[in-house]
Amino acid sequence: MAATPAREWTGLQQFPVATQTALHNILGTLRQQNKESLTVLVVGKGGVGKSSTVNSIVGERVTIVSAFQSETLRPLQCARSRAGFTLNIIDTPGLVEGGCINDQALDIIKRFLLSKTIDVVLYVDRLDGYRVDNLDRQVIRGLARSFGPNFWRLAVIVLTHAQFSPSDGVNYTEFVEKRSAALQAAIRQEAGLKKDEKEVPYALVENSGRCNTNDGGEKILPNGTVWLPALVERIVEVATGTTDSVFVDKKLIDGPNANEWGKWWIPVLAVAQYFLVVMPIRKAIEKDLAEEKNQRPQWEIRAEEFRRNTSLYDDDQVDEQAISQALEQDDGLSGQPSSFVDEDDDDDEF
Amino acid sequence: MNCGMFQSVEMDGVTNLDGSLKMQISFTESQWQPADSFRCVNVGLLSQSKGPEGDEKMTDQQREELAKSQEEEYKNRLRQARPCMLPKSVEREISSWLRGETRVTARMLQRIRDRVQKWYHDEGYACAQVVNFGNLNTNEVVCEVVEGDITKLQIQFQDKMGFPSVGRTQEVIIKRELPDQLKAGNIFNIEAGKKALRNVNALALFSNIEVNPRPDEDNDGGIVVEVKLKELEQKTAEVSTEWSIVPGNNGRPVLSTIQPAGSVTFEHRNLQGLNRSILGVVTSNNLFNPQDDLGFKAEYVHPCVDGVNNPRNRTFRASCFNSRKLSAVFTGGPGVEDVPSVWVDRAGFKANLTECFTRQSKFTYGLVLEEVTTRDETSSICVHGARTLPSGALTSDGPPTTHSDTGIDRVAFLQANLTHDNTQFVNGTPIGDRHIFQVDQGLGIGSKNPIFNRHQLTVTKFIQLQPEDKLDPEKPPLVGVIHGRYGGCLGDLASYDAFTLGGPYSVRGYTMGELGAARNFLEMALELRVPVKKTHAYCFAEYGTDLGSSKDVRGNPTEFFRRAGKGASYGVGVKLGSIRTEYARDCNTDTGAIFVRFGERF
Repeated sequence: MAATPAREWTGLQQFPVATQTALHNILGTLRQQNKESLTVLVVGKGGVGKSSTVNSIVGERVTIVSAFQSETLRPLQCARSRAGFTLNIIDTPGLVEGGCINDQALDIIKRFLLSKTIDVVLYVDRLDGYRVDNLDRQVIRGLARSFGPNFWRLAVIVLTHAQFSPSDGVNYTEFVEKRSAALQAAIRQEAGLKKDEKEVPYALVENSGRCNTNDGGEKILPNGTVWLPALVERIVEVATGTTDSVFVDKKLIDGPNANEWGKWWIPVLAVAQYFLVVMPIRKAIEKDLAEEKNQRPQWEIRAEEFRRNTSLYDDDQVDEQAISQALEQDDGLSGQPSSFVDEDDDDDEF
Repeated sequence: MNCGMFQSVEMDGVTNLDGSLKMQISFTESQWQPADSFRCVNVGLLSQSKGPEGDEKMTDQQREELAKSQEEEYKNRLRQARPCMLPKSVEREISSWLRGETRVTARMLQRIRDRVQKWYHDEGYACAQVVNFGNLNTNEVVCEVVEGDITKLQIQFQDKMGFPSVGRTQEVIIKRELPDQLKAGNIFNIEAGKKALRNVNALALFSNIEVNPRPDEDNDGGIVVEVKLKELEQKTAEVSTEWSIVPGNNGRPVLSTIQPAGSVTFEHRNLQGLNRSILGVVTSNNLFNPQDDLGFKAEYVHPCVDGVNNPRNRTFRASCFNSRKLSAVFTGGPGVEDVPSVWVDRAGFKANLTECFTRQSKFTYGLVLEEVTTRDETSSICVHGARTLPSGALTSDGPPTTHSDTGIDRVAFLQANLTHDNTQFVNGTPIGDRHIFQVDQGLGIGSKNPIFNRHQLTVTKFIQLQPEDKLDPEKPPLVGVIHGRYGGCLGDLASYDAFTLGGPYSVRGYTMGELGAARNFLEMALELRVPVKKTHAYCFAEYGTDLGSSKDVRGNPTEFFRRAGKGASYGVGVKLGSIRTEYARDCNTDTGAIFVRFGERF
């Protein structure tokens, strides 16, 4: 977690004059947009040349680089200012250890970046690699998940060891295109970039002292381009581009708190559960009960009919008894009228 | 002569040459005028009709008067008799017999009697009897039947020897369970008796139950239904065990991987005669190391909460529990061995009401108060999960184990479970549907005020693909099983409550939690059960996924322990009794193993 305070960018004076002029112009565009500082994060697998690239950009030996020794163990921020403009470059430890992604390194990086804003990301990998494998994808995915979707929109692919002649007589330009396309496709897929977004830009870098130079003393690539200004140009393009910088706050580090998400919907959910799940299941249970009633065995149906008939029968019996009682009373009371009727009959007969 | 079936009987004895006596019995059957219709009446509970009284010294006129008065009496009797249950179809059948004959003979009457009684006995009316035939010299033959009316229901308790004793159980509890068709005023049917046996047996209060009809001495033709009960011991203790074999390191079962599970139960039942009980249970899923997975529960059960006379069947249960389980959230995926284990201790109290709609479908709702403590192997409280780094060091900055980040969480929540189950056993295998919905609603009471809604919906359909073999009731039919389970949580989710994927009841072929821990998940399974001799063999395919919600569990334990998050498996197996032996192939690592398990998967 070492961070050297902003010092004068003395390294600039080491570059050849042409390079200095180019860099001045490019950085001028930043000042036109009132950007007084730029934070660049350099990430990648171990041993690809991140620290070397940082040294190359700054122009001095900021980080210790050794070909065979285990590399940077902690993130290192290097700040250099020139004419009111400050460049912050953050070098990080490699993200791969022992064949799988190093979560600890990712954690350390996250904690280092707390309360800092990332303007540009340099994703460093070697040009002389032929495959983009699962490990690379895991790294890309891990970074996307840790820092959010905008992380990869701020990225520039940096391909180191660019002074490389591909074998099998493949054309240099063709090789560069294929290699960068493979990485761009992997980033697009793993970071979830949409189809209509433009591809991640790439830059070629050769950090070793053996790098060829042109007449002006500038370091050039096999295809003749001067790589340092080109790299800085890519960086400035992203910095002045449409994507917003990523501010790393606690929330970003801890991840979205899934516990809080949607809490206000809980009452709505409870009501929805009642109507959409509980009611249909209750209806199904009632349907079962009704079906059970319909499929009753014969003896139960008959018993119910029997009870009904018997109760009707009993009612009939009660009615009959009441009627017979009433008739008896009538007979007792109205002995006269019956004889009266008889007389009438006699009259009729007559 | 007196039975009324014969008009005259003559016996001739003829001596034989060898000294034996040959008896010749010649008879003339009673005969009556031909009839063309038949009617049946229920004369149960009526006094017996008196036979014709013939006095030798009566004049013709007196005999005629007697006959007329007897006819009147008989007509009265018929009017008092109740309609019987014999269907019109049988009456018509018998009428057609009568029409086919020129006269009504005693033999014909016997045929009619057998036919009528056969119908009653086939339908389960075991006490029905034909007692008399009337109206014999008229156009219509009347058959008098005593169907077996129930006049009284008696409940009789017996002690162990079978002698009558006084029972502890209150009669209301037993009478609730008896079907209406056994009450006084109904005709006794043997099926009603069987139903009564099943219902009373379900109370689990008696060791022996008998439902017997016997004739009522006080009422002619009446039946008294006697229910004889032998009560179970009020205080019992029981030990039960089961074991399963899980695959060892190379996929083959080894002695150390045989895990016996067991439980010891103490019960004090039928308090106050109202089927209330108190029980205490101690269970362990691994008797070799009981401290690994030990649970204890003390429960009070109070049935008939709405009152004994209310037909609504609600039971109240209150219990305190204390259990200790190895957390499946903090386990490693394939290739990550020796993950330090995290034990989740849950202690608390819960009270709920269960309402039974059918024997299998029910609705339970209640309140749970619990204290959850997460401990590591040394039984000290641990706040974070841990794992070993590739460098060999142990990191303890893993996912937080509790919601309050202190290792101890206290939480109160409402819990409800609705089960709809209409599965029935067809030739020994279940057919039907089962839907289970369970929801835990946090109330904001507890450590760090957790508010959440955890829900799970399980749908299982057992579909019969072939009609069952009616001739061999032990041969199960071809069955297809479709099973799906969805779970989700909105709000605060502690890692010990996260849903784990993988396991014998989740995705077969993986160990518990091997696929990950998630906030939402979806599991699906398909199984085809093919009948093989008296049992069935099956093939299955299962799949489980976390729907991308692994990262929504605090600390992302799925990623931390390098678990896949989703996986599928398929395999075959055979069921022998209650043991399932299956071979399951894990699609993530493409390896297979043999498992032996108890019980049903679904």
